[in-house]
Amino acid sequence: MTGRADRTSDAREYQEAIAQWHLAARTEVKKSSSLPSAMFDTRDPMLEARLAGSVEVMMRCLHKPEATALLEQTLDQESEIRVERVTLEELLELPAAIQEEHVKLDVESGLSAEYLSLLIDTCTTGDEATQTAARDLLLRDFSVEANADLHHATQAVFASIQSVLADGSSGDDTHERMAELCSAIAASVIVDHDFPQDNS
Amino acid sequence: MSTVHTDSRQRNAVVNFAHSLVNAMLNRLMHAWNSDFVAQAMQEVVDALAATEAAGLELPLRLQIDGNRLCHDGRALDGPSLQARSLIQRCNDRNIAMLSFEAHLDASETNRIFDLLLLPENTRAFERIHRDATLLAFGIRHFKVTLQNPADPTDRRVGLDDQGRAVEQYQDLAEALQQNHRLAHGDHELAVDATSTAVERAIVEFDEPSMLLSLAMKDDCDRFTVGHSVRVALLALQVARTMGASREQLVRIGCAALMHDIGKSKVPQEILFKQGRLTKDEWACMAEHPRLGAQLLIEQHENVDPRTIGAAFCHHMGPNGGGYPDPLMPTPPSATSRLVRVCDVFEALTAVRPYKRALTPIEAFVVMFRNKQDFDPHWLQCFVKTLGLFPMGTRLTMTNGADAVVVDQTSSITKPQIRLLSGPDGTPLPADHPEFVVAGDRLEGSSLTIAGINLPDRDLPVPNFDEHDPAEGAGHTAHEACLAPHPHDPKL
Repeated sequence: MTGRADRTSDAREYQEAIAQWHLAARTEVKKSSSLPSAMFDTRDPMLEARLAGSVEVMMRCLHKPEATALLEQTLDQESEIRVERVTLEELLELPAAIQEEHVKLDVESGLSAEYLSLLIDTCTTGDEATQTAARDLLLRDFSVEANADLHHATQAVFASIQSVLADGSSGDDTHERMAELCSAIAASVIVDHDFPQDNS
Repeated sequence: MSTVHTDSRQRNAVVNFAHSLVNAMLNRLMHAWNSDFVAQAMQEVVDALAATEAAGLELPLRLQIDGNRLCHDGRALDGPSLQARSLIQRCNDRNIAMLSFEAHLDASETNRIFDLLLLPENTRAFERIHRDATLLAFGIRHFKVTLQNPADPTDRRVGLDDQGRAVEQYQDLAEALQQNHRLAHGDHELAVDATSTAVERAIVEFDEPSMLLSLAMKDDCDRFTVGHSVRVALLALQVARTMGASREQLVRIGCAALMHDIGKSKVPQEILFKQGRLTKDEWACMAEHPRLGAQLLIEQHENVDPRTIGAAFCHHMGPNGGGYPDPLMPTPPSATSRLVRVCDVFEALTAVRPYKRALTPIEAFVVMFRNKQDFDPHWLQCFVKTLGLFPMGTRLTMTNGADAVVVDQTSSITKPQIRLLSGPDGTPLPADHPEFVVAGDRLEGSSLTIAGINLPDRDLPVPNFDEHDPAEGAGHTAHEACLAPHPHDPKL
């Protein structure tokens, strides 16, 4: 019994010694690798951190052979450190690329169409509570009618197209209005098909 | 090793320790006290403390609480302070002036310290009459607190400079976002009003968000990408303000940018914080965060602005709807979403991540122009013109050998206004005699041209734009280009 107790005690001390050795080794690696840091960091600022990580994993492998898989995984990850290279020529070309004609930006543009599109998306992809919330918003903000039938919807599109064509406008604005109209129709159909009728 | 190098290492070790402490606090607020996330965060505190000792600092390590900032040795730790509102607030509630961390502190003990700091029933735990007994009862032997001296409320102050107010505003933004991430993570109703209040305060208090933006560069406590989101919001505000957005529009755009990554609170943390490459399934899960974020916000439909929902959904979509996610009815993202995307990508490129190094702003601009089809071309142009090729705070080396820092933009994006920090021989200039010049101007017979950008980890040489660009002054500031069209513009 005494022998078993001693072995347990020895094992605990051994584990503690290993843990202390780990900590000391990590500290030494950090110290050593930071000495020529200017040289290393010029090319890769993460080198020191990765070096310390690699050594730690190697030490674990020495202690636990099954950790080899972890080492391979770590080495694999290291090869994925991404370094975007930018040349002096590209830097030189930058001012010329920033010479766009003067454009006044409208921070409000496209908001309505985007909002409508996202509500439609949520009506079909969200969970039940989210779908209900999206439907409520369609009803509140876009007057989408859950009970609108396709005949009425088609008439609405036809009338809208006529009005758009009649005012002779074209370009992005027309496109945006048409996209919005189509989205509104889709919303009506989705709400009509996906939810039980609700006249409240 | 030089004294300067040693001091820098010690300073970095203290900053890392403070970051780990803030991160541990945020983990405790987010997760159960006995979760793996909390255990790991506590161990990181212990490791960071050991690292300060390894860097040559004597323990105990003392962090002072000075108003709204953490300090060490009388110097403010601005970076860690920016996301430390929760920690600082609780210390102030308990009249704590200083936290002392001693050698042999372990993870379990650190976790118990947070029991005392976090739980409402322990608000009086540190009162003078039973402070020592409380610590003993909680088995805390390697941590001490120093209380404020009510007789002399100024005894612990190290003196706030003019950035003090900016720190407070930044903390407001970070705290509002942290709160919403915590609520979203726990399936609770979001506190959207807190976000708009914080954004509104930031807008009212600061005519130019650039002060906050310069602070943002110090913040790398990346819990739930809070630092990232605050930086994106400040960038978006800066650009939108230059475009002449109204105050109401600014608040809405700021909120949208601040909350754009709220969907990440619904992504499992083992995926969100995974260090290596994501598997196909993990990536699919990660790529759902825009849709999850939008749905989360739609559920709060009573008081969420459509811009916020749009930015959450569309910030990974190209100007014509490419990218992800793929909505049922593809629609080009709104102007706000397109602006947030530009700011989001720029911030990601210029931030350090475990898998990549940080690019300088000018390098990030090049990378973005390489992939310009992914961005709204107008916003991209305005973004670069607003920040300039050398944004405020950029450290430069001039061709005559002097060091300088960018303090403002001029009408030419290649020629910022700079403050000289040293003479040509590297001799530091007196702090009370700043020399302000515009890059390219002549000083003492020679032209002060930018030779390179100084980074903590490398130097980036830059070309002489004047020599290669015959159209001198090309690329005017965003304000000039977008708000005050040139009278001879043929398109007018």
